[in-house]
Amino acid sequence: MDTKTYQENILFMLKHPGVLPDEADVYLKELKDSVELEVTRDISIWWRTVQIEKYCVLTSNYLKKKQCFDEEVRQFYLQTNVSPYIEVMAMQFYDYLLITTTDNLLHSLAAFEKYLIKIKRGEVIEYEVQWQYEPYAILDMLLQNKDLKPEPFTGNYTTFMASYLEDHFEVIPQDELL
Amino acid sequence: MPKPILSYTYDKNDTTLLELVQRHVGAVETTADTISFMMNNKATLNEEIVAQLNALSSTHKILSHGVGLSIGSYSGYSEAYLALMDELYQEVPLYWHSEHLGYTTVDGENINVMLPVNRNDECLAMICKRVEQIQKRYPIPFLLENIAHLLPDYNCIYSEAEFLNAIVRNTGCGLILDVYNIACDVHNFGFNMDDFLAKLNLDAVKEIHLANGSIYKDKMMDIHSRAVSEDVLQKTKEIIPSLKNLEFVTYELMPEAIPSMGYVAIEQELIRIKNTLEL
Ligand SMILES: [Fe+2]
Repeated sequence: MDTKTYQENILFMLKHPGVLPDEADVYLKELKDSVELEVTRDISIWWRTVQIEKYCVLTSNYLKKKQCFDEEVRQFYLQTNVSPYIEVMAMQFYDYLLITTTDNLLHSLAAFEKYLIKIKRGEVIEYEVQWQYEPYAILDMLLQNKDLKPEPFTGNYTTFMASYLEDHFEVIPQDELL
Repeated sequence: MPKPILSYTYDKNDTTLLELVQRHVGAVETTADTISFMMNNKATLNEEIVAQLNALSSTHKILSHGVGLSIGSYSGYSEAYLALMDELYQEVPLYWHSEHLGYTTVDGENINVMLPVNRNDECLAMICKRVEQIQKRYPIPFLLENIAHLLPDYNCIYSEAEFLNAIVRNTGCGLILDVYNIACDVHNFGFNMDDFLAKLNLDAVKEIHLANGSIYKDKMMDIHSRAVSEDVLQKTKEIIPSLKNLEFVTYELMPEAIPSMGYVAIEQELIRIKNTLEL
């Protein structure tokens, strides 16, 4: 293999655990299930984990309470050309979750946190996120590190988010919108 | 031979830490990639850190040490990194700048970790050409650092020392000897440190890096999160007398490790390194 093929194969194997690239030689065959490749992949995922948990606080806390944070970051890493810049990586992580998740609370939360950041950065002026739970109760559980028990707080709500609002958002029960 | 100067990584906007460390060091080493943030699809240096480095430059040397150049990517080094380096070079009086002998991207895709180049003629020619381009772009010395290997060697015809020596011979660049990275290679791959040091062109070594990480799945990882191990410090003490062009010894600590290590421990570590190595 020349350098081009070698580096492309290493990238492929980092992103596709347990899969060999076409025309793999002995080196790549031995590397496939090696601890060295696994550690390399784990380190690069670990760095993303450290950055994401610091930046995407609400979403990370939620995923940790659901005990799927590490796995979500791993899948995100495997499926995405992850930017080294946290400002970009965070948006990529929210987008990954918004596309892949079937958990409607996670969907609302990721969209809420994503656009809250965008509004604070001045990239977006107004945005609305729909919830099937009362947002303040959920945010309280996450920010105060309480047990995650959203069931008693079901209902239809909208968070209206805007750069000109004091807290950058307000919660509107759906009844009030009708 | 003048005594080498103690240096410390400064990559986080933390004036308390800066005030504390500047009493013990004669230089700080900053990473353009780490002190920058992305705004409107363009990486920009943090203005406050740039101002702090500028103020410090009247009494301390400022060294630049990048992570995102990816000089070993076959598809080319990172122009985005060089744009940041252009900005840093214009804004702050740099004593020199350095990077790692490795790659972090493939075809523009981030691998989010630093991997070593294959030590053969193809990569040697590629690296030397790029070093020369960088030397033309910035009229200050450029240094390359040995990285810790995460993957087994592939298609290498040169030893680590031979490869570094050839780059130095062809380009005149300097070297950073990261003693902790060598310790990682010794632990992870049975690398022979004494043989490497016996064959390396020690006159090219102008800076030493000291750091510590942790063991994961029996592999020693280059993380920069803790105080330097006694082994690495003693080995460094043993090496220093043979490095006649050594100017700086940098203690590397990543910004994420500052809260867990704490200011007091960081200060104590700088004093420990300074006293042990007689800097
Ligand atoms: Fe280093």
